Amino acid sequence: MEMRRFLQQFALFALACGLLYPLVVVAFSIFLPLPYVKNVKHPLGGNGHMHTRLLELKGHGPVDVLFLGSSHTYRGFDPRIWEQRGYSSFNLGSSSQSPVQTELLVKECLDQLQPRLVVYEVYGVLGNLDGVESALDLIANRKVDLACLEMVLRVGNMLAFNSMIYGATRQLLGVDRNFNELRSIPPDLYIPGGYVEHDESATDTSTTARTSAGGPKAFQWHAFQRTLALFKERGILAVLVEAPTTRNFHQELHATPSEVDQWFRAQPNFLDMNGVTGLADSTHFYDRHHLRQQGVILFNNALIDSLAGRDLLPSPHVDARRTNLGRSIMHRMLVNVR
Amino acid sequence: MLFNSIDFVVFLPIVFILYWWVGGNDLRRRNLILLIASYVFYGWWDPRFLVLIAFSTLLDYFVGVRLGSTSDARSRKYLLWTSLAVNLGLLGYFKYSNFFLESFVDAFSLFGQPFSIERLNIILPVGISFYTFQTLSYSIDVYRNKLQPTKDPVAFATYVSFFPQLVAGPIERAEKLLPQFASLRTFRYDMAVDGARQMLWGLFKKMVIADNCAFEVDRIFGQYHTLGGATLLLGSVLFAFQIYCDFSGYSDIAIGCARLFGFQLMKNFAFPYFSRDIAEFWRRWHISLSTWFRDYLYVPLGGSRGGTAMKVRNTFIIFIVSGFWHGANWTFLAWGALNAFFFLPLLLSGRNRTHLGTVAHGRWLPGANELVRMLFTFFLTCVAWVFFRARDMDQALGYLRGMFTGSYTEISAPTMQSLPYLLVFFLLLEWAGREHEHALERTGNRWPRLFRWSLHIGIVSLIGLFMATGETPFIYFQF
Repeated sequence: MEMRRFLQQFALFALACGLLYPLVVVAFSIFLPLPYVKNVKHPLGGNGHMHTRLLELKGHGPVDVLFLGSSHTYRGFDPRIWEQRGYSSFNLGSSSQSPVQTELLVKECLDQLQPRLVVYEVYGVLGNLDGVESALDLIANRKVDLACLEMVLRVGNMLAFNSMIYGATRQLLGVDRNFNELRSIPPDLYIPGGYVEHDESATDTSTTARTSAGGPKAFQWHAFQRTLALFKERGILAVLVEAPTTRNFHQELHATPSEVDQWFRAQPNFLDMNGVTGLADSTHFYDRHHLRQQGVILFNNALIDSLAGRDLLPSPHVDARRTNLGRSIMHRMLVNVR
Repeated sequence: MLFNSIDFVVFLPIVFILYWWVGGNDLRRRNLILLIASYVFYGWWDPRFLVLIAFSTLLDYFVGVRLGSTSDARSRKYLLWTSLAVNLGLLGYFKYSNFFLESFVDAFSLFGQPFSIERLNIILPVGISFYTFQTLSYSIDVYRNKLQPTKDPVAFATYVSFFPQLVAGPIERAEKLLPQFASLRTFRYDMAVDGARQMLWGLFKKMVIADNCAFEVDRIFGQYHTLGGATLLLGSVLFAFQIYCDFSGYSDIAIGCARLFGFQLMKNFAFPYFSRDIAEFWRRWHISLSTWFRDYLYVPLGGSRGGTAMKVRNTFIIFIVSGFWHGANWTFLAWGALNAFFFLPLLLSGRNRTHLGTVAHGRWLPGANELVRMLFTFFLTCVAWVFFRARDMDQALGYLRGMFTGSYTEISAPTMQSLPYLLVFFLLLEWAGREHEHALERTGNRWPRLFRWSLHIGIVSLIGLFMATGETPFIYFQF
């Protein structure tokens, strides 16, 4: 009898907690300044123009190439350069994007974008990311739905969970409906196609490379494999690309090669773009692992050449030389490079 | 397996169900379930650790059996020394080898013979200090004929490895805990509910207060040489909260968890920061270890009997050994010695047992005199905690120098803006519950269920909203 009573009371208490907890989260988030509520964040717009990128994605048509990955992606793959070389593309990179977020985004946009080639930016600790930063980015800038809930449950982090409750409430109340993200948030400038160009004056050398010698987190690794399997199933060619970083950063990153890193290197469609593009640390990077625009131009052209050399590029269907836009961009780039 | 992990959230209900349902009314089956669960819990860190605990268990079980079957004084002494030598030898090897090696090298270097030795690559088994002391108490008590040796190996093995208190205490005495494994426990609603409440409070202390203080403490200790005195004082105060909430939080979870299975563990902390002098603080801090040292070291050494010199010697021994138990570092020895210095004036003046009751008994607020005494005692503990937290003696002394001579005109505020409010909430509840077993034992108990549950749901919500979100092991695991 006592045990039954205990279990009944415990179940009732758990139910009450389950029902009231979201209300407490929302109440704290509304009535206290958000910095006071440690485990709720709502980075509307975020660091990488995710809001604008996802808005643009909504009306976007099919592309030849889709870019996926972290800030190295949305700051490193410039659709204008690819357009110059005859390829339409969309950059779906986001801050600290981890495989669970990539999977969510890919599932959502694959039918719409119908890419023929996916450039998936990878690096050794990809499988060890906790996925929280990117989860917050998506919660704040994308609709909160079942796919979002699934992602948050996979990430299994209280900050992501609370932020989802808060994000869902804001969505329900339409608070963010009229949010209009500025395209230019110095030193960043959003370029149509998902790319973010960085003003070249700022420099930061403080970032240290995240490293991990251990195996990947199971949920991230499974998400990564599922995403690759999806590409295969759809007949989409996916290349894994390690974006260039400064020499020291690259050395730190590979000081203790992770299992994932070794796996990448064993793949036939893996390209490490470090040391092959003639990039100089002092002139082509604005911090230890992000490229300046001159660097982006060199890197993208080198990548396109490299892919073409390996016969991994689909045949181009955009003749960029005919477009005025393309001409002017190409001209500006060449001037910058010189 | 950590108490504050998803693994434990899954593990506990499974063991609870197996224990009460599958175990039925069969005492041996229930003990066996607890033993298996405890080994799974401990092996979760590293299955190799199980060999060590199983060896210790078998040794002391057979020592106990042999002690019970012989009355020959010489044989009994031999058996006791075997237990002491093997258990302390293992503890010494795993915990202190590198310390002694390095100290040996340092000592030679002082005499102009510098040389180096590679550190031994030894993994310290989690909780070895705790279960070693627990199993030693059994051998010593059986030797002293205070306890009949058990003939039930499963009950004994479960006593040594009982998962709620295996890795960070309370360090239970065989005479109190072992008999509980020999009688069939019945489920009691009140006990289980109070256990769950104590676990909730323990989780709040660990996940909200300790882990968030840890972040600030790491920041301040990491750059202590660039910070002013006020910030360094803040760092030591926050560490005082961190260490208390981390360790007493673990004890609360352990005691509460044991109560879900019908076991009563000893109280390990009695609101020590509301102490009015250092002697009272030490009666309220890590009670299971303090009383262990009192019974098995201090009293055999002569305790406070004898002349002043003996009192001073015994006090220093017990405090320094206590410090050394915590870790193989000179900082822990200094921490122990400093506490002995704080304690001695009280002992020598015969005022070490002035404050035996709870502060402001039956009143809402303390008197001015009590408040000043509490603050001063807290300040002394904060000074001593600097040694406990510091990486080495250089850092400890540099930190204290900065704390006492640095600027007090500016302070680097905690980066977590809500931390001061959480600390106030925590202190209020601890103060309200200071006369009870734990802070939530009576608080709100007379309230209507609506209000009582609101408080508890509020605490659950605070955990969710303010917990540290990375993996945060308990500090005392390293001891």
